[in-house]
Amino acid sequence: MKFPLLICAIWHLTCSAQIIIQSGLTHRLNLPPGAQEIVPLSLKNTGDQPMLCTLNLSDVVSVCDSGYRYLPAGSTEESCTSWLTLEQDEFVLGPGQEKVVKARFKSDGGYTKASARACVLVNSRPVKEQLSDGAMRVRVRYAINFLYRNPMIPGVVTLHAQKLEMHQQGPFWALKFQNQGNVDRIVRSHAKLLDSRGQIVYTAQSESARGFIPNQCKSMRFPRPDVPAGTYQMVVLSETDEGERFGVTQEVVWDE
Amino acid sequence: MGRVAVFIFWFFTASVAYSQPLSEVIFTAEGCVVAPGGIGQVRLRWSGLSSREDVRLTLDAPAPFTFLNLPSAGDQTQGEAMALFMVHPFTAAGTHTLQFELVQGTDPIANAFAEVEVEPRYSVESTIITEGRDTIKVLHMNTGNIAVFVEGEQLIPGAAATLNHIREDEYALAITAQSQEWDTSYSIALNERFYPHETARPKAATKSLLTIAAARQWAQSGGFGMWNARLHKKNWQINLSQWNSNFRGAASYEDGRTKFRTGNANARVIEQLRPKNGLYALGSFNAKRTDFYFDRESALLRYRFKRDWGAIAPGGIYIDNRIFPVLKTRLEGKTGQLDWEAVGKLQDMRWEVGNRTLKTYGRALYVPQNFQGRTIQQTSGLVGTSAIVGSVRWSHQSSIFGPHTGQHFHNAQLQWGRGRLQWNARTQLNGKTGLAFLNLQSTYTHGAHSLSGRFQQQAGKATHQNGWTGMYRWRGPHQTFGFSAQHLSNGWNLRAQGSAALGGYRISGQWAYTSLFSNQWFYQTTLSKSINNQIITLSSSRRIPLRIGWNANLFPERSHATLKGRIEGMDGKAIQGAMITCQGRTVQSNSEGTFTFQHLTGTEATIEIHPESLPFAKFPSAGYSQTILLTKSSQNIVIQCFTTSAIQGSIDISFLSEPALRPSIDWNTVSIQLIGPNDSLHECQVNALGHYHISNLKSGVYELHIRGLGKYFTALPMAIEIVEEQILEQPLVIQEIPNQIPFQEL
Repeated sequence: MKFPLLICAIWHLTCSAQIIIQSGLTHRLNLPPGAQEIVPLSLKNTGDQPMLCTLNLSDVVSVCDSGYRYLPAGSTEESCTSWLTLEQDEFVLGPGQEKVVKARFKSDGGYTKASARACVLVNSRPVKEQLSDGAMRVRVRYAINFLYRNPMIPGVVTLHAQKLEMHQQGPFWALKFQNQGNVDRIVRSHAKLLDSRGQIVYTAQSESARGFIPNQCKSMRFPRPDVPAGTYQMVVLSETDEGERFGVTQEVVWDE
Repeated sequence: MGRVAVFIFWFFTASVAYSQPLSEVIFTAEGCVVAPGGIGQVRLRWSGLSSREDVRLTLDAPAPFTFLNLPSAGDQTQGEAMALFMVHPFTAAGTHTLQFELVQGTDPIANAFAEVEVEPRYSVESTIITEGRDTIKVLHMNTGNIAVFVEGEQLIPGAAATLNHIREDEYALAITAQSQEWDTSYSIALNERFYPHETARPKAATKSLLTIAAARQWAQSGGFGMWNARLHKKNWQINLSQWNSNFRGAASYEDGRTKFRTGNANARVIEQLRPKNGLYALGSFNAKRTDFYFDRESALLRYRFKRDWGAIAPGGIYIDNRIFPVLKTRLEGKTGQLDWEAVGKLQDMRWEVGNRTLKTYGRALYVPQNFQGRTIQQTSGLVGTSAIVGSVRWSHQSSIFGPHTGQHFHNAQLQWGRGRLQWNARTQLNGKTGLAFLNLQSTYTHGAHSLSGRFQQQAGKATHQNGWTGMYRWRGPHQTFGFSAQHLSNGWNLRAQGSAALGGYRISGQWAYTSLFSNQWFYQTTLSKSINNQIITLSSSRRIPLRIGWNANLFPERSHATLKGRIEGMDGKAIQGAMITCQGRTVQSNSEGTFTFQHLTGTEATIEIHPESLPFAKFPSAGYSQTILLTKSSQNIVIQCFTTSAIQGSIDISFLSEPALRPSIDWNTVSIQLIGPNDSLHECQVNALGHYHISNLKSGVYELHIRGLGKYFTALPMAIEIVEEQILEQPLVIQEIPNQIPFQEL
């Protein structure tokens, strides 16, 4: 098994035929209901053979640890696939060729929810396929998410801490959050440790800002504190890109 | 949201053998260890998949992971794939979990987790933003993937911070960075230099109007007398010499663009020829681009083109009633240079290539028939090398010369020194005579004492001679003493020497005994006395019983003036730290506001005051550039600075929340706006410490606004009154906006 796998790996690395998305995989739209925006999607064929690209609309959900789940268009309550119109949904890209496909996003004028989501799945395959019996081929599919926020409806924003992941020897510790609200947010967290006298002995910022869609879980990671062994009060303040703030506190025992 | 790529398995469904559903689905994922910025792979294995529908493989990877390709092999019953991905260079070190899921239709049928460990990489880059006399502002950036502390400030991967460092060294700034299991210190070269308040006294003496050297000696073979006088005034110089019945002299003029010299002395049209005594004139003009030379037998005219890569100078020479073309070129590079001179068929090439560690040089000279007998050297070649590696030094020269370049000579020297001990080995070989010479020497130095021993051997076809030398030397503050003993194969040499200086007198002498010659004793003593700018010398030796010498520098030129100054405000208060430049040198005023320039030349001096070194809202009344007439040897000036109306202060924060819940403020976005009586607008950025300064204001009442405070802070506008020529110290306070933060207890 290993030998054919190696051959296959070498073949794929040397003759890679892949479409890449140059315009990002997440687009956040903040439009009043009824307004529209054109989102350019830029694709490039980095391989050496012509590729047939197909763009399909889909819905996307996330339920904490299950990751992203892509469902048929219009199958969820927060679906906005009907607002999306693609300029072109099937085309051939030659080797090294780039193409910009305009996606028109026109929100529903009577929409009364705080957020909506849609997804464009980008499939690609070589125009000329060589088939052989028993063979298996691999395709790469990209999911381009469109996250809509309704500026007229405030929405519910609740960032719920689920689990503290503290490894004494690891260079980082983490706090796992779930977005239990109904709109997506980009979150950055600041952690502090207070000693028994209330003095701040550790301050750190999460390693990066992270995006949360409703129901999604992600961990915010912080550098390992260099504090003496003892009992501390941990305070983590999280701030969203819209300015909402959430606090988490917990007594932690730190062993050297 | 993390970057998501969905891989779809397209199974080949034509095969009947795979159309039956299999019993149990097994799906595993195996991670790897990958360096930040590198390419890693996750090995996926599966078995027992149904072939009736397409099976989708989805993965949820954190943002720093970019999946590239999925080479695979196998089928539904059993297979393997390798998901290749690239890791962003700033990806946090440690274990990252990637989730893979197999989905058939809308139902997940199996999932697997792969743990990818990103290796730690420690890296900090520091860039100097501003250099001050006391503090240095440095931008530090964590370019690794582990949080590090730079001078106590924590930097997470990819983060940057601007820190102020105290300047402890003039030339370099030492920085310490550390993390959990790593620490380093490094230094950054500092370019800005800060200056004393007084320039150093000049070491070089001024040129005298007249310099005389005269001597008379009486010896058994006859007497001898000579004198030399040099008259110097500004760009002019006259040099006269006379000994026995010979008289020589030359007059010259030189400035930055022109050089001219004429006289009756030794001179030569090109440097390869032997000098001849006679009347001559030489020089260069046209910004020293055109060279000329004339005497009774020869002449030269040459023009030099200068370029970035060197220079080329074509011309012509008249000699022996013939005219020859002359071409002189120089090629210059970072590591060496090549000079080539052609005079008719005479060719002279010299080169030098190398660096401090290894250097090679050489010269090739070809002298044609018509120049032979007139040149100093005949056709010859020389190649040399030198190398320095640690405490070892090596040098070597090889030359060929003589008729038909039939002779060759080689010399090599190896030196090694460590602490007080130094070893030296030298060897020479004459290829024509076959005579070889070897010299080994070791020297031990301790304080003012040094002791050395030397072994030398000379060997040839007919001779073979060994020798030993021992030597002792002592050097005191005003005295020296030395003694050496040398034993050669057929005799001894003994030598003692010493010198002492006291109150303007200096006496030195040496005494020697040799058993090798008939005149076995030798002595030489010298006594000299300095009186002002004159030295009188008396000396006596075995061959010259008496010699009297007189050296004098008469009428020294007084061209130097001292400029003492004070820089102050209109109220008379000293201004410290103001940088002032005059005639290429810079000083900084001290706490008294004073500064001194010594050794100024000319009749006037222009001082430049550096605006950035003056305190806030201070401006020199007579401008930043001022010219002072140097009418006296010591001149005094006062630089007065007026003060404009201004406002400055710092911003404090009034927090309402507990320390752990306080938001931070980014001072880079905060600015101060002043709206004046006629709607005039003045604005300044708040610095990193929360300080602000606005100068050059007119008196009146202004409205002060603090802008760019963000979501968590606020400040009310306030009215301030600016008074003429006064700096208003106005502390400002911004208020934290009350904010209810929902809190959760884990």
